[in-house]
Amino acid sequence: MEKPMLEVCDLIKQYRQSDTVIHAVNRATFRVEDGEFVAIMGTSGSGKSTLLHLCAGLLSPNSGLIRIRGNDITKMSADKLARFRGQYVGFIFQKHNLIPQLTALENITLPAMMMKKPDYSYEHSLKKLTETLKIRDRLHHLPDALSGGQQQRVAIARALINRPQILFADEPTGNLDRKNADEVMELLLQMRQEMGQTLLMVTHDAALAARADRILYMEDGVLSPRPFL
Amino acid sequence: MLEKLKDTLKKQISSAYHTVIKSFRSFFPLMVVILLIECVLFTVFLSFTNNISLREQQIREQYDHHLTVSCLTEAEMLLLRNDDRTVSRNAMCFTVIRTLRYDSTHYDPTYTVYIKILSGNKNYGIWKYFIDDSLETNFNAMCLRYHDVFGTEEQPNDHITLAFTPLYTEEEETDNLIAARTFCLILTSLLSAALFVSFYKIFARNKQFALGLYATFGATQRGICVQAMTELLVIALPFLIPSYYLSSLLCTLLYRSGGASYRFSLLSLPALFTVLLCIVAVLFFGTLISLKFVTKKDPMQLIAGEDRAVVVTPPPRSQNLLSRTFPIGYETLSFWRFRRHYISLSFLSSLLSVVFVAGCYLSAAYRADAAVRYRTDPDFSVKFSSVETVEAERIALFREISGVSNAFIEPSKIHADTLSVLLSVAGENVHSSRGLAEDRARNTLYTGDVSLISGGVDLAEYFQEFYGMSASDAFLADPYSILIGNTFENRETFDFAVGDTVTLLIPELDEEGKLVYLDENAQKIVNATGLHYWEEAYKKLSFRTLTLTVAGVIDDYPSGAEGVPLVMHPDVYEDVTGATLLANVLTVRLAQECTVKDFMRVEDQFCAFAARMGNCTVQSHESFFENRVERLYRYDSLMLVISATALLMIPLYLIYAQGVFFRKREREFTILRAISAPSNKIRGLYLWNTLSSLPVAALSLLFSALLCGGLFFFFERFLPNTLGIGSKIISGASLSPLVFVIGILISVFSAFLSALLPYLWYRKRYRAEILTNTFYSESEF
Ligand SMILES: Nc1ncnc2c1ncn2[C@@H]1O[C@H](COP(=O)(O)OP(=O)(O)OP(=O)(O)O)[C@@H](O)[C@H]1O
Ligand SMILES: [Mg+2]
Repeated sequence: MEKPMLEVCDLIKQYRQSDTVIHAVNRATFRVEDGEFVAIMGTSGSGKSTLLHLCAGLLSPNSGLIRIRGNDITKMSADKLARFRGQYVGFIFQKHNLIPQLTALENITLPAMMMKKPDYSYEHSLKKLTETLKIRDRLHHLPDALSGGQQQRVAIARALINRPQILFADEPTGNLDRKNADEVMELLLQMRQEMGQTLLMVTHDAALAARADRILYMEDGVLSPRPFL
Repeated sequence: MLEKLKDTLKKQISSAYHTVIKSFRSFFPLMVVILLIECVLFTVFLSFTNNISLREQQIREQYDHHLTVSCLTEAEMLLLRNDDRTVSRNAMCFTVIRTLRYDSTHYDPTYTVYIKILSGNKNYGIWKYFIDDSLETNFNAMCLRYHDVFGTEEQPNDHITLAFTPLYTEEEETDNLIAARTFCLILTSLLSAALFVSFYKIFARNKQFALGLYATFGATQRGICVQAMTELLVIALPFLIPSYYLSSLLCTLLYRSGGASYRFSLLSLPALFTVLLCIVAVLFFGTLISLKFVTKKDPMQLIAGEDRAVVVTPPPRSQNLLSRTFPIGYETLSFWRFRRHYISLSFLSSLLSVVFVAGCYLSAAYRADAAVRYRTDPDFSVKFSSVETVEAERIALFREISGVSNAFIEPSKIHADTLSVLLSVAGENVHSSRGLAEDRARNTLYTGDVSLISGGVDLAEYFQEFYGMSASDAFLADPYSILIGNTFENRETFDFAVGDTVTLLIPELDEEGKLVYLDENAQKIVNATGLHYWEEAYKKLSFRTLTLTVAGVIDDYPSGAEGVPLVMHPDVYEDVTGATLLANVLTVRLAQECTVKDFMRVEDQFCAFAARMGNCTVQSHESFFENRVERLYRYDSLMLVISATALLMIPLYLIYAQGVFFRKREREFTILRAISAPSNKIRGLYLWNTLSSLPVAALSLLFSALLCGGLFFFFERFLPNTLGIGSKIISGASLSPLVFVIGILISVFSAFLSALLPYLWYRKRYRAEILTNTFYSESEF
């Protein structure tokens, strides 16, 4: 049997602030099959972003197990994990996190450069991405000269440039209007179709969530397949 | 494969180059630091290299031959002397410079021959390692050719003696200088690496947001390090040339001002290569260590940590404080919030000021040491065999020779340890009792480690000249008045003043010359040495006492001469030691400005003199050359250069660290403005911050004082007997107060400046639209 794309078991992440402990993620267990599209919903501060960061290996958990394609990323060295992320994982941040000194284009091609890919190998996807995301004419601007929505679209292009097998998206359409949000969603789904990409997305938008294969709900760090009452 | 490597390298370098050019401003402080480090490394290397060549030059001036062969028979001498002119150019590997004949009534005359070996060694420069025409080869060739004289390996010629001069063993002579150079370079590199880590950590922290994102998209730690390293090399390599010339200029100034020559070379490859090696090592370890600090965190921590500076985590109930006293209360809290920043600032700046003080200290120690050695080392000794005491007229004769600065009768000296004389001192005259036995009941300390000294008619004059002390009139007029040293084992131990009394305990002996015990039945002292022996002796033996009055105090008595020096009247000396005072050796010192040529001229004159008088021998001391060349070495100035660089780094570091720090906080300030803090309050906030110079300065003074205390303790304990410094004790207290004043002023001033400058920069950028921008724009220093 194929290994699941993502397998999370008993994941715990706590933040300690002087004497209080915040259970950002509390014993989360779930799995995502290859090619599946899973949406995560929950109130603000319930730990969704933290969960996503953990799954993508951007943050180390206090305990628990995270397997991507059967590789336990909690046991990888920092360097191995970095290379692994570059190769298999794409991430769209809630706060777009563009590097302000680099132009939009440089920000987008950054992951390809990290993986030392030659120019031609990503040129095609770059063209397609920038066209679909409608940022072709703004590629040579610095991030702070772009609107919030444009910044978010640059961040999305950056996450997709390496054609990752699994994409984590933390409210990718949060800063976009309805029309643009739908278009971006369309693009994400299209990419997924083409590459059989697995998509794990946090969203507040019930309409977008409805297009997912499955919805997980989060409340106070606890993950559940059913909505909380 | 090679192509690919070249391609990657080219790409790497060009990308690094563009990064540096693009963010020139953020690299600027690093550039200054790298330039300064390179300058110091070059200065260390060049000055030591110049010392080596000064040493070689001195050896060449002092000797014109490589070896002396003595006890030759006439036939052997003739063989050596005549043959070298007749053989072909190729086979001629030596010349005879001088031949001396020694006559004796019992034997045939013997000959000493001074030989200079010919070799191309010097002209080949670096090639000498590849072309084997060294002194050694030619020496061996000579031995082979004249095996009748020198013998063979199986059958050495026993009756001759061979002695090599330093001209032959030159490489060995300079070996310790080369070792010192290596040691100094390593030490400087280590210090530089530590300094560089401090600077680069700020730089990397400032870039941690980008680093976190790089890591998110697959950059490995190694990749990040390689990139960082390339960027720094792109800066460091072009700076090598200017820093070479800067250092050459500095060295020229240093050596010229000290009256020594400096050999400037247009471009010295060994220097360039060595410094390149050092700087690469410094940068490599510097980046590795500082990036380890930064990249060991999770990428998300790096990205989010960026905003952390803005997040106020105030102590409980700070809200009231905040709202009521906005800029002042708020910023005072900020000192607490950012305490780690301020502590690390203070710590590094105090480390730097300690390096500064230590450099001054070592420099002063070297200077004091050279002065003492110049004062105490004689240049010639003239020994009269027939007279017991040299008369004043004869001394005057020697003093008249031009070039001679002074001549004295060499005092006789007996180390009393062999005599078991005990010196007993009242407790209040002693600083610390290390190495002294104690008798608490009688409040006295005693030691057997005493040097008894006496001399001829010019004894008082001698101590005035050599130790710069003047004895009171009582000395020598009263037989029981003495001169005494205040130091013991190179450390300030006693606290004598003219008029104090000390007691000398002389053990009584019976007819058979055995020690007399107070209690006949007491256990005899056996197997006790040093301290233990004195303690036992003090309690058990019967002594005759001698009360002596201090008529003068010797402040620094060189470490070579052991024990507490006790200079006494000749009669008392003979009485205590039981030996006849011999005052037949004349110590002669040359004027400070004498050259090697003068030395040789005076030596010739002395020898002629001695031949005429017929009853004296002349001995010259190598220390003339040693001290002369060491004065030219300029270690003291080199220390000052290092110390000045450390001083220069203080403002540089503080301004850089504070600049970056406030640039980061601009977001916070802008948010404060966004939530309606008026601009004059923001200004107040900055101005209150300038006062941050006070806690920073106070803290660094505290740190510096602690560290300096430790350092001085360490120096005073270990320096006198190591590192070759040591005849003169210099203590922290004797360091010029100016050093401390400068250190404090620079620290306080740069702390002040480092808080003021960011405000001036902020004010320049202070515009209304900054509000929207700063929320998104990343800080760049
Ligand atoms: N670095 C941190 N230190 C301390 N607490 C943190 C940190 N990051 C997040 N938290 C806390 O962890 C909890 C979960 O945060 P998280 O960002 O995952 O929420 P979220 O579900 O993504 O919220 P939102 O929908 O508003 O983005 C919150 O209570 C937050 O305050
Ligand atoms: Mg979130």
